Amino acid sequence: MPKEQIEEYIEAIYDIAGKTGLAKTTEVAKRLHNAPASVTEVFGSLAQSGLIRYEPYRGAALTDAGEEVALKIKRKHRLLEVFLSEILGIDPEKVHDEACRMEHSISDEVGDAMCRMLNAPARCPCGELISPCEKEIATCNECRNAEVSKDSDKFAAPRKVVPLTDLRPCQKGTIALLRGDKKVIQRLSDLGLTPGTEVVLMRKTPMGGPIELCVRRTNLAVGHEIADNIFVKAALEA
Amino acid sequence: MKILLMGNPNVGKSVIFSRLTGIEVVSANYPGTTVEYTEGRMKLGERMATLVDAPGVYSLDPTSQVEEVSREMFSRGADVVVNVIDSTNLERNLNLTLQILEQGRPTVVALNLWDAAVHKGIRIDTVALERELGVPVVATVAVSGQGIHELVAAIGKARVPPPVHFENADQRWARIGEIAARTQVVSHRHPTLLDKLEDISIRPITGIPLAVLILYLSFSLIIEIGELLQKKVTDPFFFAYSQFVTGLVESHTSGLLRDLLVGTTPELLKSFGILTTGLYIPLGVVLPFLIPFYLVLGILEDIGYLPRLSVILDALMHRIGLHGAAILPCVLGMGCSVPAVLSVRILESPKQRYLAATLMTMAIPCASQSAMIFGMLAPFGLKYIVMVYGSLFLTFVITGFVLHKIIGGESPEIFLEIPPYRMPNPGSLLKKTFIRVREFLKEAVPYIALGMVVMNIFYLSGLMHFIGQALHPVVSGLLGLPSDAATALIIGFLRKDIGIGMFAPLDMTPEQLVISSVVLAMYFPCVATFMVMLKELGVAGTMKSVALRLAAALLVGTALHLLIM
Repeated sequence: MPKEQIEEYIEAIYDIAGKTGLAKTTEVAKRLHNAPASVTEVFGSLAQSGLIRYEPYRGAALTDAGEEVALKIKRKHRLLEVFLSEILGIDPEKVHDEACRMEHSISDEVGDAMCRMLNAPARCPCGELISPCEKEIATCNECRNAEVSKDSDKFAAPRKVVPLTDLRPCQKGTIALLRGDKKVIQRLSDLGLTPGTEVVLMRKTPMGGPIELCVRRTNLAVGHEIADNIFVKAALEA
Repeated sequence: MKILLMGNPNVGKSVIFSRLTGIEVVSANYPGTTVEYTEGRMKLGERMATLVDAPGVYSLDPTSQVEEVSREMFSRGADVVVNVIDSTNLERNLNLTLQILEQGRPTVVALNLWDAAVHKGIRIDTVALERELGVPVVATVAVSGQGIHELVAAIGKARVPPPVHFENADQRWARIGEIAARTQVVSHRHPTLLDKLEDISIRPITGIPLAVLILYLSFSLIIEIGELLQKKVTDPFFFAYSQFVTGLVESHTSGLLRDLLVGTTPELLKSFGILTTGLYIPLGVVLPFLIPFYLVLGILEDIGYLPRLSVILDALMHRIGLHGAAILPCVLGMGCSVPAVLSVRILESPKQRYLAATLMTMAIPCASQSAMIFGMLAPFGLKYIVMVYGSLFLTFVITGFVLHKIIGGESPEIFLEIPPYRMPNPGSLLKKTFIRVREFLKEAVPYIALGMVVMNIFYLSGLMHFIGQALHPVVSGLLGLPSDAATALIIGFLRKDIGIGMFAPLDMTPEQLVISSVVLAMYFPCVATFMVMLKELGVAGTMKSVALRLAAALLVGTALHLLIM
């Protein structure tokens, strides 16, 4: 099966059902303008390659491997959208379709280079969060500093990181990556939010209000947008 | 000899400063109480030394305007740096300590809030910490004065620390972890009542009703106490006083001088004599409300409620281009706009500072204004007071919303330390209230007297009539007020409270009083506020802000004219 088709299917399931939910065959068929029968067929082979769990008559859910593919392709898609609208000045209405076509043909390296050039954007033009790269870095500063030498471009094993805002109240996480401009990263570091530090999400407030977290025994209120750019390795809940 | 006090925000530097110099400065339980540096003299054995209290910083690389002040103080050099640390937060505070030590200046570390740390089950081995850092370490409780003598002694013995250097923040934090592990023991303890309250007051479902309740209770309390003081203390006093002083003045002088000193009518609010109305407004009307206002504000500040309020209201403030921390200038502005304008420095971006300063000074009447508005409108019923504050609140929100859309520039997100609740210390609470009331009196009494003189000159020279005629189309046509109200608006530039006082003899309807109070609050800042705005926003920024509010005042005034009359 061609890579592009796999990615289209994975992306469709992700768009419909998110990281964990079930996407119905008919919904996927509608989205991709395909016949339900051929969707079922593709589901079969995706399940075989371990990317999805397929439950006949109910639908398909992403496996961990599938989710990884989805996040990667979404990252490229959203970075392309930012690139097309901000750098090339393409009409925001059109960037989605353009990005849909281009996302399958660029490598991770090109995606990451775009990310660096665009100064590590947090969101695509329509406001969706862009997932972080898989480089072995702790803050975006490292990527910036390594602009000339490509030494730090070694890729680590895929890490499972989530934005801090994805934690549940009272859940612990370890900071894996800080994204944002130098000033924000410095501010975070001044208050002890450095990579490798354990944080506890205390509570969230509704309507995009601040997140309260506890780090090194200090309580901090952090704006939602900043918290979205702190990526943590979530600890398993006790 | 110069000594610099440095430390994270909200660790008690200002209290230590007061202890060492005897100079009273306002302190509170939230980060960013001190936005400027204060200098004082202290005795160090036989010698005198200069002590500088710098605003709190989290690191030597400043990220806000307030922090730049401290960095600047540090760069200018000091013979001894006293690094004040919050003992309940050793690790976070050590980040700054290590940065200071890297600079190689003679340093002393004060482990402040020692009592709070003990209470929390935190034990720090000061001897071990001294060994780790290589500089003297003293445990202090600044509010009670414990450890201050030892601190003075340690300053005398301050020495250059052994050289340390860290390549980056990670290395520094690693060293901090090491030091903390060697010097600090934290034992588990049960959550106290205050801890539980902390939880309730920040959780949205309980926090919002609690915020409403706290604000409601605060204002009811202020008004109750204010009215009681006025009815039982200041009014009887001024009644007797005015008869006495009028008699005294009339027996010695006559004509112009008499009119200037005690006016022509015995009514305290309408005579406009320097000795009658000129004293009655600040001492008889404003002071009875100002004292309970600053007491209640002080309690809320010292407990540490304001940062919680910031968190609860953050999402709302985002809609108008600000964030939760902007609540602080707004709350301070209910007292006096001058310190409130200074406090916008805690906001990160120029856009936020401009927005906060403009909105706060325009739509939040200061305590003097509020006391006068209450005094004037209360006899007609609560409805009219609600109209004034309702219009101002709507103006605040709508103007903020529109400005946020128009003005370019970034609105960074909130990033605020939430201090634990602390029991207010009655002594420092009273002292703080006293300082603030004294500031008010120093400022208000001369300006009000000056206002009385200017007003009498206007009146006697016929200028008042002339201004009234000239502004008639605006004041009467658009706003529906008697043309004499124009002078009140102009005098209001000196002080807003006299401006409102000058509405008294005009015999306006309550609706007209509502319009004039709103317009007076909005159209221009008072002269004291204007001066700090010039300093904080620059000439261009202030002019833009003033032009905007003039236009907004006319618009809102005209709209009210059409709606309620």
